[in-house]
Amino acid sequence: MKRFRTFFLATGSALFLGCAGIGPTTFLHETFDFGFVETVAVIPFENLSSDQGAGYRATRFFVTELLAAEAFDVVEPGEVARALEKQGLVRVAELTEAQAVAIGKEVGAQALVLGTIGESATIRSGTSSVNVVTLVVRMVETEQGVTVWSTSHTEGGRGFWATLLGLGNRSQGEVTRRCVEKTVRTLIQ
Amino acid sequence: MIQVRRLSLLTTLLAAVAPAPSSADAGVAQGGPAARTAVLLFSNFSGTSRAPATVMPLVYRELEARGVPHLSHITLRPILRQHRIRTVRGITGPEANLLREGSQVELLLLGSCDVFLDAENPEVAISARLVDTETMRVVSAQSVAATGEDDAGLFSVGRITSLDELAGRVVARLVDDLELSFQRPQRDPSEAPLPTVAIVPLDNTSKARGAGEVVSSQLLSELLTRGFEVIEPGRVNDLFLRNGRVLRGGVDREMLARMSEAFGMDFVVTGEVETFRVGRGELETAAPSFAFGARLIAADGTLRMSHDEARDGRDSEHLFGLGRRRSLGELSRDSLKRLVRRIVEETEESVAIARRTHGSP
Repeated sequence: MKRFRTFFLATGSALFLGCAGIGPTTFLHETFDFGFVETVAVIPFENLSSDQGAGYRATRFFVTELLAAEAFDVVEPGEVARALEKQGLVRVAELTEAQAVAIGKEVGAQALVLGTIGESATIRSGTSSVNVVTLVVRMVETEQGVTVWSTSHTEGGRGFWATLLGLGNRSQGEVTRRCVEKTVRTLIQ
Repeated sequence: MIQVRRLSLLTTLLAAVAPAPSSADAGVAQGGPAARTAVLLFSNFSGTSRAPATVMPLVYRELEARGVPHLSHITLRPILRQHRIRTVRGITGPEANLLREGSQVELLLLGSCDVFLDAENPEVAISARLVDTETMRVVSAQSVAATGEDDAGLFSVGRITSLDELAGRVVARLVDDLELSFQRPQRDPSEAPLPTVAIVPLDNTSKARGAGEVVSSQLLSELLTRGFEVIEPGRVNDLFLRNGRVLRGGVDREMLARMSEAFGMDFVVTGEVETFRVGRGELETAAPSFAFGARLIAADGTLRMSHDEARDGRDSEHLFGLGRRRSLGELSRDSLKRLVRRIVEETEESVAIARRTHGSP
């Protein structure tokens, strides 16, 4: 009986731990007053993965999540694109302090959100496959160009019940959305 | 007395059994004569080159059956060539003016073949809109889509395997839906103004050619159906061109100000189409998929709403394949309906204020 109990406990723990993902790693500026930020501009995310369109997708989801959180006003992406064009920027994930300040002034935002899709892929193992997305996002205030929030998060894998019962996989879009949702939650509770 | 009662009973029975007047009889005939309409060649976003050649004669057949006086795109060709008028992205005010004066037409019928798939389960999706040549108002717009499997009953009875037959049905439905609009509507000037929306065509990041235009046309139909006034896409396109801007998935403050000045619109809708894919493979398992994002921007540049959605034809499937969406056009329309419902909720307050200002109840 004792052996059975140990076996079930060990199996249960292995399953539970095996399905748990890595939580986000977050930096939050200790002295920065986020109440000062009324409007943010989301700069199109850089895509380092081979999944074409992953950057667009994540940027879009990020704008939606920010608006849904009702914490900030968000600058229309068309306006952001024009400001970037005016600055002659191609690589938008790395801005100098001066560029961040200039773009902030141009679009009337107190902070810029920059991000990178580190991974957006389908990992196959035998007959099963899992969609994984890794997102690194940071917020730069536009007075001095200082990073005030930064977070990285990986979302993917099947949930506990999906693994246990062999249920269907989540689509790449769904995984991206969850990843963005959890990322935004580290900034806006 | 008994004979009289029998007679009246018989008359009542006959009245109940007699077929109701068809929409064709009821439509144009009831509201007066139809306006003279110029039909422009439908744009082809389907990727099948023969789509317009199949669809256009069907459109003319349906218009003739309903007694709508019209000019065909072939008749209009000399005047279009003479003035170098291209209508792929809509029509501008001066172009419509030229057509009105040159051929005395009151309405223009513009459209597009969105999906035209010759497969085991054929699929057709067509969008069309009517534009008043004098006011440049989009009077009516409809998007209709169907697959051969849509009406299949028990043992596949009613299933359509011929693409031409399916196209005929889709065009008939489209013209049916547009029918009443062939009479030029007269608006009461005391009527409260409708909220006006300009659509900046959605950016297309999908693999389907023209998906941005297709979804934008469907969005136009949905917005009109829900009571919005929509600016003719040709006018928006022309304004962007004249300002040397790319008309895709976004708008900056400067263009927004110019649009406000030119059209006096209340909102702009734009976004991206990420997936626009017809169902492929086995008939039993094939399902279309659609993913898009859209934003509602107020005339002052405020981003009012953002909406993301990804759908698969199997999402609403119940037991035995019931509820499964087979048509991509229907699937995208469902999603756009949800988007427009959110837009209505979001703009309700602004509309109420506008109505109060205008003095309507």
